[in-house]
Amino acid sequence: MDSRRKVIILFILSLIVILIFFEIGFAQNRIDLLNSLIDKREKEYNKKLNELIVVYGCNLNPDDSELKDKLDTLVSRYISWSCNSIPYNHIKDTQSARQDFLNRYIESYKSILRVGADVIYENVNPLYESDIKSATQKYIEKESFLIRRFATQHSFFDLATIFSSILTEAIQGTPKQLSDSDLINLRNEYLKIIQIATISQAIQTDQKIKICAQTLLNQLKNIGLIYPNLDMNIDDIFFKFYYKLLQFWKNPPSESNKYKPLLDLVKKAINAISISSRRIHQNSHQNIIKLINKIQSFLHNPTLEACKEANEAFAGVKQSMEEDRKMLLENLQMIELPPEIKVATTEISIAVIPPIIFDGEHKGTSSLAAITPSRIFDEIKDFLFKLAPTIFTLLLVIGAIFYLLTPINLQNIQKGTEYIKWAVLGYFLLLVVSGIITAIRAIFGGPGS
Amino acid sequence: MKHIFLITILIFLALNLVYAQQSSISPASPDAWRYFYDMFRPYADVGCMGNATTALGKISNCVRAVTSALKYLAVILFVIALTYTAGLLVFAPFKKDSIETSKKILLWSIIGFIILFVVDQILAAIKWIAEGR
Repeated sequence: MDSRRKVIILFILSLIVILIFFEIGFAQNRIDLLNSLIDKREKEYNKKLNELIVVYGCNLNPDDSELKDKLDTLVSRYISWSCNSIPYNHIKDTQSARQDFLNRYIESYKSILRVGADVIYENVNPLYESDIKSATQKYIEKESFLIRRFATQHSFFDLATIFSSILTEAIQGTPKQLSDSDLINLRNEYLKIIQIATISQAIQTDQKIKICAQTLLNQLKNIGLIYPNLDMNIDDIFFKFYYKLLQFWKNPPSESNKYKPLLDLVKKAINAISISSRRIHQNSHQNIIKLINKIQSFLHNPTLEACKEANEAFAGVKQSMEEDRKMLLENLQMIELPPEIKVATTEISIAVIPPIIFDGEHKGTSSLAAITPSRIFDEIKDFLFKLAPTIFTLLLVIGAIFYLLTPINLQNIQKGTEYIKWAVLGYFLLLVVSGIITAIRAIFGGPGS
Repeated sequence: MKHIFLITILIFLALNLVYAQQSSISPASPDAWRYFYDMFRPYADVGCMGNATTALGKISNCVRAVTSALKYLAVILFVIALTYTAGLLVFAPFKKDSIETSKKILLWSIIGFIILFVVDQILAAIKWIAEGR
C-alpha cells in the first residue's frame, strides 16, 4: 500500500470519528436539556403540592386572586406564627421540605414521654431512627419516584409539542411558537438532526404521507389535553393523603396514642403510591416512550409506514394513561384514617311493633307509659287488617284449586269447602271484632268508651 | 301405558288453552315451553318481595305472587278437569257410576273456576256485610 492511499484511508477514518463525536455530542446535549426539563417539571409539581398543603393547612382561599402574594409572604416567615400552629416552615419546591413537615406534624401528636424515649434511644444507638422518621422517609422516597414519573411524562409531552412545531413548519411553512426557553433550545437541538426540508419534500411528493402527517399533527396538538391529567394527579395525592392529615389537626381523636393513626395513614399511602408508581412505569410510561420513538423515527425518515406507526401509537398512550389514572385513584381511595368508635347515649321512641313492619310513619311512642293494652291491641289489629285481605284471597284460591283437583280425588271437594268456609268466617270475624269490642265498651264501660 | 297416553293428551289440551292467547306459537314448539316458563317465572321468583321496604309489604307482595301463580295454574287444571269429565262421560256405557262422578267433577270444577274470578268481589262483599261499606 502506498503512502497516498494510507493518507486517504486515515482521512476518511478520522472524518467518521469526528462525525460520531459530533453526533454523540448533539445527543448528549439533547439528553441534558431533556433532563433539565424533567427537573424543572418535578420542581413545579413539588412546589404545587407544597403550596396546596399550606393553602389548606392555613385555611387560605384557593380561589383568592391575591393568594400568590400571601404565599410569598408566608415564605419569608415561619408559618407557625400565622396559621393554626401547623408545623410547616417554608414553601419550598423540594421533597425534603415536605418530609420535614410530615415529621414535625406527626411528631407533634407524640406524647412527651415517647419523644423523650426517642431522644434517649438516639443517644444510645446512633443508628436508631424513630418510627415516624423511618415511615416518612420511605413515603417521601416512593412519592418522589411517582412525581418523577409524572415529570418525565410531562417532559415527553413537551417533546411532543416540539415535534408538533417541527411538523407544522414542514407542512404549513410557519413554525409553531414555543413560549418556554428550554423548549426552544431543545427544538434547536433537534433541528440539528431533523431535516425539515426532507419532511416537507416527502409530504409534497406523496399525497398519502401528507394526509397521514396532517393526522399526526392533529394528534400532537391534542396531546396538550393530557397535561391537566398530570396536574390532577398531584391534586389527588394532596386531597387523598395530605388533606386527611390536615383534617386530623382539626378533629384529633380522643385516645392517647394520637400519632399512631397518622402513622397508619402514612403506611397505607406508601403502599398505594408504590403500587401506582410501579404500574405507571410498566404501562403508560413505556407507551409514551414508544410513541416518542415512533414520531422521532418518522421525522428522521418520513415514510408512510413510519407515519402510520406513529399515529397508531397514540391510541395506546391514551388508553394506558386512562387506566393508570383510574388505578391511582383506586389506590389512593384506600388511604383512610382508621375509624374511631364513639359511644353516646341518645333518646329513641319505643314502638309496640317495630316501624319496619309497617312503614316509616309508624314511629312509636316516646315513653313506656304510652303503651297501653288498647294501643297494643290496635297495633296488632292494624297489622292483621292490612295482611288479612291478601291471605283471604290466597285461601279462597287454594279452596278453588281443590275443587279443580276433583278428577284426582272426590274428597278434595270437602277440603276445598273447608278452606273457603273458614277463610270467609275468619275474615268476617276479623272485620266485626272491633265492633264487638266497641259494643262491650259501650255496655260495660272501659277506656275510650 | 294408558295413563301416560291420557296424561299426555290432557297436558296437550290444557296447554292449548293457555297458548290460545299467543296464536302465533304452536303448543308443540320449543317457543311454547319458553312462553310457559316466561308466564310462570315471575310468580315463582324468589324476588317476590318486589320493591317493598316493610315486612308487611314484603309478605303481602309474596302472597299476591303465589295467588297469581295459583290462578294461572288453575286455568290449566280447569281444562284438565273438563277433559277428564268428557272422558268419563264417553266411557259411561262401560262404567255406570261414572256419570255421577263426572257430574260432581263438572259442578265443583265450575264452582272452583268461578270462585277464582270472583275472589275480589267476595272480599268486597264480606267487607260490605261486616262493616257496612
